[in-house]
Amino acid sequence: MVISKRPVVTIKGGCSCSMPGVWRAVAHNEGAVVIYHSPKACGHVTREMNLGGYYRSVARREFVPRQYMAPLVVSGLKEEHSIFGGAEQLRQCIGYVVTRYKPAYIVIANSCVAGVIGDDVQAVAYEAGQEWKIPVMSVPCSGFLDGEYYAGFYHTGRALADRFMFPRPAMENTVTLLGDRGGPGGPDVQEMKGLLQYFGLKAHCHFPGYASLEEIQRVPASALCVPLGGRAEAFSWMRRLASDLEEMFGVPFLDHDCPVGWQGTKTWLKNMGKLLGRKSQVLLAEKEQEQRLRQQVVKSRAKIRAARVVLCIGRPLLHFQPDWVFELLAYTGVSLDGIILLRGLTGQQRDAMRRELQNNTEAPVFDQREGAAVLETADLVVTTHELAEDTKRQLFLPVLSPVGVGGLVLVMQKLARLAERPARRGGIIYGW
Amino acid sequence: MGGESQWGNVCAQVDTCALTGAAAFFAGIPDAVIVANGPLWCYFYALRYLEKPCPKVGARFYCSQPDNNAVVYGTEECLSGILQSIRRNSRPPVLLIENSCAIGLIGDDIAGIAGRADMPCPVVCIDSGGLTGGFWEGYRAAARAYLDVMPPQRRSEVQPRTVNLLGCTIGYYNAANDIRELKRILALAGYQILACPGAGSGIEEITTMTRAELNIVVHEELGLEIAQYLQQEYGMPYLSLPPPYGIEGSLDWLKALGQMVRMDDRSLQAVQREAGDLERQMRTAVLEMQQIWGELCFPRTLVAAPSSVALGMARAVRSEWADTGPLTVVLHDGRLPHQPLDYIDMILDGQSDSQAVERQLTGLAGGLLLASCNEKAILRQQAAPVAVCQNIALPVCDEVILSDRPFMGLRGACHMTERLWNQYIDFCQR
Repeated sequence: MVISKRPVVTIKGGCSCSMPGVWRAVAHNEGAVVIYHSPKACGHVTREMNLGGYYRSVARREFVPRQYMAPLVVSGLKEEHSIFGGAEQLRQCIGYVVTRYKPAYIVIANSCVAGVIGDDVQAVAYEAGQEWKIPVMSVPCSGFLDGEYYAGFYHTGRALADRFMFPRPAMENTVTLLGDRGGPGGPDVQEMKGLLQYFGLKAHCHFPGYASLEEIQRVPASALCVPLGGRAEAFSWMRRLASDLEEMFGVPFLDHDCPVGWQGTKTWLKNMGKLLGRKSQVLLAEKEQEQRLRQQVVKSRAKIRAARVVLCIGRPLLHFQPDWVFELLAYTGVSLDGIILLRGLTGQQRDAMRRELQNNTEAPVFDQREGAAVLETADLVVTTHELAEDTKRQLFLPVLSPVGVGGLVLVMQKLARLAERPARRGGIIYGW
Repeated sequence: MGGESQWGNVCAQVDTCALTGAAAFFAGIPDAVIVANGPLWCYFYALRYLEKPCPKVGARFYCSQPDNNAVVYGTEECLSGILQSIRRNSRPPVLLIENSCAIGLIGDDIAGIAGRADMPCPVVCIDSGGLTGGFWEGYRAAARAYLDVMPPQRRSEVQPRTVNLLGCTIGYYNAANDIRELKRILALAGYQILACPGAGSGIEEITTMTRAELNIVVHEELGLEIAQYLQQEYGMPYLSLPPPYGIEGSLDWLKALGQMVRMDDRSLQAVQREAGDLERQMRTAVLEMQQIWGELCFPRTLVAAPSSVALGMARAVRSEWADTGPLTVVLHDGRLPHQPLDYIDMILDGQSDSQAVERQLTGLAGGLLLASCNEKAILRQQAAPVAVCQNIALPVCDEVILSDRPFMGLRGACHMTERLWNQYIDFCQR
């Protein structure tokens, strides 16, 4: 029987919180301090999330010692504030932050508790800015209530743009990357920079995160903005930020999400070439990237080709677009025996995913209960959720789609490694 | 001592949410079902925290996922749906419904909703979001609410040489191994353990726990209030001491326990024999290494953990495990001891002294750090290398423990000596 390790969870709506998005947006911006207007526990949850990211960066040799880490201070809402309001507590907290950290600016994230209490955080931020003579910005989200992680991330970027940016003459061939994707040192951004080079473009800013005040002010001088999303929800918010910057400063943007899969990379290159009027660079880029992909396909195909694969999907379309996975499987020459839609999807999400699958594959699609037989005979399971059957060899698909040919190659290498594993060993390989 | 501020950088603090602490108590009751009446984000965090020590908890931990409408009109619809599903699919011995902070504010009658759902088991309802506090507050609130809803039997008969362990949780680092070792040394000393609420005991064991001669508070920050309540309501005496770390520490702990229940000193013979054997074994191994690598000696030591763990470990470091200069203790839960302790040079409140904690960490070059991965990450970010880092508290992101190797008790003393020495030797070779 197909059993997801988390069988009791069906994601009906949002599954994240806007506050960590605010924090991530400026976590490595020199001089920034973030205040959560929330109970203290919300800060601990974010800290622990950040800790996992920190150790992942250590493991991948991407860790930068002494990198600026914005202090995260929590106003500390308690029961009594639900009766008398928490605005005064927030005012005092801002005063503490200004005195203690002497920040260049403060960003306030609101919790669901602050939202329910109804504190006028925007007014408190404005008054504090006047009193302390430093920029104090608030973000119009309240925890999970009206916007998720990317909403918090977007609104922080927008607040920084409103506050710090002003029109500047464009610097030729410069790009601002909009989004996170592990920061400037991470493989995703490196992959993007590699593609930009074909067009003679140089990423001179990363926004809103990993940016000093000087870099933030340089954003309007960019010749182009390039959104870094990775899934529908992330892209829609980064696109909105790009669109805002275009409207405010006339900086055009590439209206395309990160290049995902080979077809996606080709489309991205074409769109970029068209936008810049540099079509000859597109041909060169395609040729070199295809060669890079082919080399890996030859290596991986020999190891994976004979495998019978089952794809298990438990993420809704908003969080998982499967097209690049079919492309990956096609390159490796495997037989896709079936697709199992896990119980975590609602009926509506399942129907939408079925429609999407029909556009991509002829492989049979099963519900969780029906999929037991096909799973039984599969050699490899490619999945969005860990399955309890740990005797099966599982490739756990990344939450954010891999960027460019480099990202595709990495997942392909992992799938090949999984296929080489003795079947009886089973286990999971994480695709990131 | 004392807090510099009620604020401070939470990146230098260690805690979780009361939602996690309350869920941890119930996750420690076999087959108990937990419903987080709150958003998925808070639920997923608590689930991820508990899945590490309790891998199957996901099958009995649910989330009601209220949306914006529910915050306005109430959570009855989404909560009732989950309760019906539980009712159809399982027969849990007890059910916890815990409100997240925002949901707690809207004032739903959770007990009423549970009553209308006609659940086939006792239902415990509490507010346990961040407004309640952190892990410790959540655990205590859940334990107390459990005892209110499912009161133990009146104390009519007392079985001699029986004890309960209070304040234990699967939500502490290496807890399963520590609890196993505690039970082993207690059994070796002639005690029978009746119940360990929140860390493995079922509802029957908790119901009959009042037959025990004594309650032992293992982690005071979790179990003291329960012990006081049981003393007040059931007349059960209790003993609260720092947990037994080190060989001497373990023997002292058992001796104190023996005095409390008037056990004959001869009951410790088996434990003393094992302790003597282990000491000889450790001494031989350590002396061999000392001739090559010198003494296990640190200019400074910092111990950061929940208060019972930190104070107990600090004592063992000073009295048994190493030579050290100034020893600083950071209490993650901020529960400061009532009187100064002569083996500690400085005690910091982990909840409010974050600035001082960062300063102490920065000055720890070449020293010994017994803490969580949070303190290790701060050190690394500041590029301040220490000699030996040993995880003793959550969060832990850089270590796998699969073997039965406790920190507490006699075997724990052996294990810690082994770890400290091996890391020290490794440091000398870097």
